[in-house]
Amino acid sequence: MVLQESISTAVDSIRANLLRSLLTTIAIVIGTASVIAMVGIGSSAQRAIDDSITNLSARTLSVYPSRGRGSQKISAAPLSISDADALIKDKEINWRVSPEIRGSKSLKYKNESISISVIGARESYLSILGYEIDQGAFFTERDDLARKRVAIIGSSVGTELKTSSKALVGEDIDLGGVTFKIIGVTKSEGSSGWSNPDEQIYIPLLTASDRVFGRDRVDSIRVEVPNTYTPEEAMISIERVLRREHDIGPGEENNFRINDWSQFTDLQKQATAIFSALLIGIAGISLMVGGIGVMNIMLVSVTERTREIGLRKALGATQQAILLQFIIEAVTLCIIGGIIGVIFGSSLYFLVTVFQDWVFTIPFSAILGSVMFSACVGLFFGIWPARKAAQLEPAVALRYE
Amino acid sequence: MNVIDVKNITKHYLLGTQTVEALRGVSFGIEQGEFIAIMGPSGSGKSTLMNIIGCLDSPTDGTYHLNNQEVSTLEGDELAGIRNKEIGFVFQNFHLLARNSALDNVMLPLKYAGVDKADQLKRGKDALSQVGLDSRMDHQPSELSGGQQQRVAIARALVNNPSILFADEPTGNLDSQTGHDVMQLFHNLHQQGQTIILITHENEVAAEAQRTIFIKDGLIESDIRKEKL
Repeated sequence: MVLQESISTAVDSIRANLLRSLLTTIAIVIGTASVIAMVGIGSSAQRAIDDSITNLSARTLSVYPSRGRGSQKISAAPLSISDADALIKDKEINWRVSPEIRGSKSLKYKNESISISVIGARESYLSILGYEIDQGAFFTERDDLARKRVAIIGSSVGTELKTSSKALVGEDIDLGGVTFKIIGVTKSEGSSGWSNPDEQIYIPLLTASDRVFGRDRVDSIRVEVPNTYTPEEAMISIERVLRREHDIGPGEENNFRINDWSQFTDLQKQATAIFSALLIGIAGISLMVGGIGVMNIMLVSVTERTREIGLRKALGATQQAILLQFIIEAVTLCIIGGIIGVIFGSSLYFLVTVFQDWVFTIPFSAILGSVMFSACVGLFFGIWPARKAAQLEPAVALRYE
Repeated sequence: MNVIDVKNITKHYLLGTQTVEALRGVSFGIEQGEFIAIMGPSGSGKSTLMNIIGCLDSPTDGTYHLNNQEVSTLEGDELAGIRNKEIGFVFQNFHLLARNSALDNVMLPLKYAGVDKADQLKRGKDALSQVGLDSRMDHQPSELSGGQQQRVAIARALVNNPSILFADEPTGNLDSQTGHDVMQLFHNLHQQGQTIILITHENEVAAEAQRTIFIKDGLIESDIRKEKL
């Protein structure tokens, strides 16, 4: 009964000073809006990362030679082309395998000379990594076996040579003293963080091994796992084949390592979590500032309405009834701010999802949580002004000018 | 039987470092159904006496029995309960809530009494028709004349069937005609047996009452009963 009366009085009083009330809640609005936008953007970004990983990276495993760290038992055992061939020959899982020989060479074309990252690989390499050809073609198995001097360049290599990549198709270039014919250009992929595929040059594995680098030691082996197997199953199979190839006895440690992309994902998850925590912190500060603003306006309101409080007390309002009335007013003010904040935050988040092409999902718990938190801010900061009101002497308050 | 029994009431205020003796020992009784005026110049202690009799304040010393209940020792919320049930206030400047309808204003004491909603509406409407305002129930104070506003305030004072109707300069903000109408309303209520205490400094208004108590310098100067005509 008294509660209902208090709520309607609170709403009336907020409506009577609408502009002032809304200005008071701005900090609450900003706080809640940033919480909602953050939670939304965070979960969408996470989902986008997860999706891209299940789409591509988690299906591609990379095998690297072990860096003989700590334990002396592990002798340096490089990966070789024959290791890759052994994986290809193993038919337990119908994976696709390409070793990768990587090195830096100078590339000369006409009067230009640049240093470039050279990758020697199998003809399956490009599709294993999910890259595509923009113009021309990738080399074939026949090109590889024939150790042909053909090359495919990344989309921005041409620019570095003061021409366009597409114009270079069919041209001869000099790569570390060997003449290559450019037969294709890849589509732009963008930097992956460690390396930029657009600035690389791809040549057949055996050409790289015999004519350019003079070694059959490879830097890594890429394995694309078919959808019918999990990365974990594939890792066990790779381990089995390579332990056999490397003559590793039972109980001995692997002298190679297999990376899936989960480490990378974990890192990204961690970064996202730190970022979110930071923004939640800012939102928290903003809500505190908002609470102080609400407290300030409530103190003004109590002073302005001293005579009304006196009257209510004269008519029989208890201290508790007055306390409740003003606390409810503060809480209502904050809840309104919270709701406006949820609307703003969701709109902001929606805009981001539209531009980023993300899925729009706000967890209901986030909405409820942030509005509840706003209410708690109102409760906390409303107590002091409400106590001030409740403790007014009725005889004095009635005659307050 | 006395509704109000006041014995040797004193009230001291601390104003800065100085003690002000607003009341220096006041005793009187008011019978059920009396229509009484309390008069006195400003600074006489009239307002202090009114606050104590109206249970808005407690005396420093002395006893105050309201309906045979000792109330001078009560504090805070206990006094709020007494005010709610036993006393109906009418103020000089009406003291209506500006954004509430006449009916909502009248129902306010019932809300604090915890009366259920249906009863609130019924009693609120009854009180408004008692003061002749049943057609203006949904109007806000700004839509009512001064006389009408004061009648809403009187309805609000009556709604909880108080022992005492307490009117502090009820005609102070009204022109003489509406003031006269309001006084007529008080007479009607008095006819029905309502105990009324009128606080005023106007002789004309005080002359309407059966009995007048004059307060001066914190003491009763005179207590005059009019002979019945």
